[in-house]
Amino acid sequence: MTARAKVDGRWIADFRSRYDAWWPGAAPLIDKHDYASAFKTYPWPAFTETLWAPVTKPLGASRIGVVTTGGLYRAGHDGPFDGKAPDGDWSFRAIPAETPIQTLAISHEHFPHETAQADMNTIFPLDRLRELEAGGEIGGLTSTHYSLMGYCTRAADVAEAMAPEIASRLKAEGADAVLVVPV
Amino acid sequence: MQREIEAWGIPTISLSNNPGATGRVMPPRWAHVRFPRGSMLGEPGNHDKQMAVLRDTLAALASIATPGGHVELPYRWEASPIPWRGKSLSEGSNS
Repeated sequence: MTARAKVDGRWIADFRSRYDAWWPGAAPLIDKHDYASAFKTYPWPAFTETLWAPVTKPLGASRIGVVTTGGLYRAGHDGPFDGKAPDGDWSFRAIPAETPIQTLAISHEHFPHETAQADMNTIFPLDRLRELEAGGEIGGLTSTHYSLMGYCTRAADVAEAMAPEIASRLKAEGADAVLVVPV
Repeated sequence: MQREIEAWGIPTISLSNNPGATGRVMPPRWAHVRFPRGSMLGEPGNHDKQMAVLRDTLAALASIATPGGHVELPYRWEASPIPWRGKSLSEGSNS
């Protein structure tokens, strides 16, 4: 992890102190899978602005990258996410664009897997995007796409470690636009 | 995540079936779908609906003109509810 965050991180110190106050009470509830009670008092980051990068290219000339939070990984190449960790997992997996998506495995304890296991396009639509590329509706796909495991209580670590690394890679790979699929 | 990518100069759009949760992270652009948790582009094997969701969502990259804007996608959930933690997830179920 080398990239540094570009987004304003002034919320992080406040978040960390509220998080440290929240966690001791929340952890036993999460252990019992009582997420509703645990997250009733979650210290949501106090964002104050919406970031905005203007669209500068027509879609038909744009290279698209995809980020899914479905906890997908290439079994045999990469390890699974820690799906059972009570505070989640803020690592990510790079998925080459040519990966046959139906070979991906899911490590994510917080959504039903039936739909995605039957058809990964429902949470990571690379096959459909390739069809749009073949028809000239998009310019193409980035060489790599990214998967994270959407359950992570440590928003500050996501913002400081994971998000800048993924963003810097997408930038280096020439992404003109990114589709984010939270699952 | 979406905020950071925008900060690197790359426009983004996300899919959301949970407007309350989406609002908290103040994304730049998003498309609202009514599919149940775990099924962000519709039913498995529904090629035409997946293409329609993608086309509408990617078109909204350009059509959403103000930060935080979103589009409502009209597609319905046309499969059985999905069992999940003792509940049954149907159209609009996001938790």
